[in-house]
Amino acid sequence: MGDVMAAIIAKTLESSAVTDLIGSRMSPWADHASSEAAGLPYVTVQQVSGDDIDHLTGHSGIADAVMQVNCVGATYTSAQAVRNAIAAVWRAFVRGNVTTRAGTVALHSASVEGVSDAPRAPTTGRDAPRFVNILDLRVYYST
Amino acid sequence: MISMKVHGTAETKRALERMSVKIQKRVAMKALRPAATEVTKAFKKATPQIDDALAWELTGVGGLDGDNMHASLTQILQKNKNMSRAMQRLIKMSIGRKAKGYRNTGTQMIAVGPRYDYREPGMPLSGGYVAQLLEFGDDTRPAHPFLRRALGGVAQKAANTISSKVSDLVREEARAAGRASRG
Repeated sequence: MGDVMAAIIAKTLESSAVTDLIGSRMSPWADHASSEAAGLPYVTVQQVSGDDIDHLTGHSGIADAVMQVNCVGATYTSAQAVRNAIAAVWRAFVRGNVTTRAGTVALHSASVEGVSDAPRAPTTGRDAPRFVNILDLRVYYST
Repeated sequence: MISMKVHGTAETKRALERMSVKIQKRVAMKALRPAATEVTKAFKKATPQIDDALAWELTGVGGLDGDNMHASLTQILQKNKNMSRAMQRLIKMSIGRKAKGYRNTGTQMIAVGPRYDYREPGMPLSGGYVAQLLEFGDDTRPAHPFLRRALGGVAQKAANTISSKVSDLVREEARAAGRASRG
């Protein structure tokens, strides 16, 4: 059974516009420390919500998930550039299968929601400030 | 910003469009109010009680040992059982709504969410600021998306409320217009 978060990361990192900016520094939130250690900017992904889509006759086999994509940079513009590159990937996405180590995930559709232009204030207690730009990504998928 | 769109039935929409802009605005605002109340209640109910360590961290005034505890925070702790409760109360109380109408387009809206201008006595941060930090996290803290999850649960109900209210109000306005024309 495929992992939708891994599929989203794999699909995003297929874009050279994204990898030119972040290399392969995109990971689930739980692994953010390793991404950060590899350098800036980097991206973390966290699941906000998700639900199975049911019909009157039962489960449709499709689920939806909303992912919060955090683009972290040393400057606001670098974080924004990463966010825009990722948004462009998913706005252009139609549908397709993504194979990860955990299995294949069929992504039926994706939409970019809730793009946040407001920069998070630089975190106190750090040597260098960090700026976070966020977008929410809603995907419909089946595994 | 988290938002949702409601599309009424075509018939109701056409009937509404035939009415004057003044009536359209009145109907829209009357229909939005009960839906906004539902969303406000859902947001308040979903406000999490975060753990005490995170609550202290969000105050931005030092650690758990209390060495840097500001006099104003002592005041907060006298009023609340612990900092976690104080933060939950701060966010809950800050959740409110603001209605706005646009004269040129006739668009009516009600924004629901934590207000940046809401402060509890003695608390260094506003409710809106703390809620934003919790909802979206930052580079060191994960997001606790309580508002988006709550909206996901209540959005359909609120949309249905708006739809049915608009239908009822359009019917009422049509009846009133009929009575007025008959004298």
